Amino acid sequence: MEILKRNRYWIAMVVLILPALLRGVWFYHGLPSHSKVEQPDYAANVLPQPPVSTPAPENVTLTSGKVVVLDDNHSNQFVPSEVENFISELTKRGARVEVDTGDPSLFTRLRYASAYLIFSPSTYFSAEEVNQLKAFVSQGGRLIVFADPTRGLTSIDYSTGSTYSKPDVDYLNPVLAPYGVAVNKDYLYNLDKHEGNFRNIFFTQFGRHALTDGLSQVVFYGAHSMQTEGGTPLILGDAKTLSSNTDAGGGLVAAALSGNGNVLVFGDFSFLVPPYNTVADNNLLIGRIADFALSGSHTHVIADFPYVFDRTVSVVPTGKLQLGTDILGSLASLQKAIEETDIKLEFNPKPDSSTDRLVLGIISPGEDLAPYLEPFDLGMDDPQSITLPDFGTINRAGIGLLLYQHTATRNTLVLLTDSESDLPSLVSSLAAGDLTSCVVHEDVGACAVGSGGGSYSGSSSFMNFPSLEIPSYTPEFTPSISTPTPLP
Amino acid sequence: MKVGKWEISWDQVRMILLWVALPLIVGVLIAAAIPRPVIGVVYLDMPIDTYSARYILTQLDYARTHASVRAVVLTLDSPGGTVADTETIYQELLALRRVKPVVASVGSMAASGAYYLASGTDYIIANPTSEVGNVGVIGYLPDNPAIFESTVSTGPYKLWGEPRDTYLREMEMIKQGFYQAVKLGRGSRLKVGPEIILTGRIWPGSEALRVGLIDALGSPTDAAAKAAHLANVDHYQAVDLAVPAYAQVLASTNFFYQTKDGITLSYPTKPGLYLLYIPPLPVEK
Repeated sequence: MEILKRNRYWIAMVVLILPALLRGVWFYHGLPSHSKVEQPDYAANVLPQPPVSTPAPENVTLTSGKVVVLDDNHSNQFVPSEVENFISELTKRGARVEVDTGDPSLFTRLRYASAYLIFSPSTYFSAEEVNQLKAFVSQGGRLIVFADPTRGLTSIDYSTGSTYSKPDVDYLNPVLAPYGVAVNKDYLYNLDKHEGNFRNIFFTQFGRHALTDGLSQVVFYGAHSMQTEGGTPLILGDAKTLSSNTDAGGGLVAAALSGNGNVLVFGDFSFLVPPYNTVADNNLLIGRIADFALSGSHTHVIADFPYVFDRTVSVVPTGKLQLGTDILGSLASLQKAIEETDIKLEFNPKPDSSTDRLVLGIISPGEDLAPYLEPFDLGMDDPQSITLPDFGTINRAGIGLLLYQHTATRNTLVLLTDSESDLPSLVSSLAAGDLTSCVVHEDVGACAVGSGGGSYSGSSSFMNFPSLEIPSYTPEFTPSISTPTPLP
Repeated sequence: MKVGKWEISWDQVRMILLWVALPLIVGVLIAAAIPRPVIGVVYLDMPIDTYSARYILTQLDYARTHASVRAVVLTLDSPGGTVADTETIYQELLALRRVKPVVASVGSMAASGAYYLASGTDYIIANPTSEVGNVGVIGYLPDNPAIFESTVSTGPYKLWGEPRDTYLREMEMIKQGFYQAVKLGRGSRLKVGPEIILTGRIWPGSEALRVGLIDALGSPTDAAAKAAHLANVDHYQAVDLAVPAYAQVLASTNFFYQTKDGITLSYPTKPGLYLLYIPPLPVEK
């Protein structure tokens, strides 16, 4: 008790503090830990801006008589106004641009077109159309195909929440299969460096070709990748440009040229559309594509008549041919047919060098006819018959010959008959597009036009009339799928 | 007075009462005034919009200004939401973190904007199958500017806000801010780079742990324990802060698009930019 008495103040203080101390220790073990708190520097984040545009050269190569046909017959997912800039580049170069809505037929359009453009279709091309395009390309026509993952038509039904997808790739690949190009059902992206969005890709790697010569950077705004077999990859992604299919990348191709050099395929066409056409070298590339479209040498054959001329046609009578009423009447029909293709037909026995030629004459080894017949190696020594390469020997009586020659500077169509009286009939048949009585092989045709009933005794291995060869459609290229690299 | 074998005088009793019992009673009373530590729990189980943001901000403010709240557990079960509201909550979270630890507990989902918030906490705990991540921005672009005869305006973007292309670039800018938040918040705990994070992937909790988007797998109880540990407290009580803070959710009925049939879809009603995860929609060929 004495202890209590002596230390009462201390004891009181201890028992006063102890409960609080015990409770405090029970609940609290020290000061709360504080981690370093840092905040993003939002003010430093700015809107990314596109690279400055490289202006396209002012001087362009002018062409004449070139027609570019724009496919709008396969529910194509674009409107022509979107690619107005590209169309303008074509017209600036002297081309005429037509929109193919199905009438006249693709076959007819391709007879005179220099290039055929396809943008993101959402219906299939028929096997016949695929083959017509194949024949067109094999004759030197240019086929330019634009796919675009942003036009894959993924729509949302707001009433059900369901989405509908019609990737253009499904409809394009059957068209491209004959040329060893297959567009992948993916899109490219780059999370490391991009133009405002991960799917807007900078491309700085280019295959060597006139199309890409001098390009330093183009930007595609949503692009499919593609695979080529025997073709030329034109625009390639860097190692960090990846495919959405595999999340892997390195050298993925966004544009390619087919092995035959006539089919150009792009995995995007947003780069044609304002304002993206003015980014980096896009405008330059657009000009190059226009040049490519018009630089093909679409060779025509007789079956393409009246689309066998590129410029004003001069009618050249040869020998002692008299232009009577019969032949004038049929020539008037022929003039109408030719002028429907925007080509003028004029009568000029001594034409200048700038015109195409329609030569009329009688089968005979005359001096003025000789220069026109020279390329065809005709045998006319026998007065009763004529020898044609690939045809053999044909009886002259009642025969009409169609001889067509195409060069870079001139197209010449020669119409010959055994007698002057048969010539109007041959001209009329041609004007009417009725060559059902003719055997045509590429640039030479032999027609039964007169009463003489010419007989054919040749041993030609191939004759083909009236249309172009239409081989059966079989895909020649099956794309391989690269193995994805898994993410870590 | 005899107590057992002890002989105690009244003076002695008085002394004990005065110098021991009384101080002890006073000490106990004083001790009782020491509050039991509170781990405040803030629930975000809805998309982030103006209304839910206000609901959360009220609670965060309460936590910051009340000493009894020693730490906060932010329980997330949200697909994210609007950009501005997410950033507002995020910044308030950082302000709170400067004075008190904050732990995120992920329920079924902390996607996009919700993960933005999680990245602003000290520690993230999720279930093995919680959906975590989806770092990025989505948006619905406005139409191209056009002229309407019946709706007039004083400038080309008065009606449209900004050009479509600018919208896209603004989205990129917001994404950069989001990634910076994740990078600063996770620091060296983040085991993958932007090329992975910015794919926008959503990871299950166990995978999110592997890539460093979260710190541990566990339950909300584990999260509260972690918060208590960070606050250096024990024997805490977990309190839903909505109650003491009088926070009330003003129902945001029109955030998600509703069909005429009353079906609520998983994408927002208004066009704009969002820090939001939208689950894949069914595709009909």
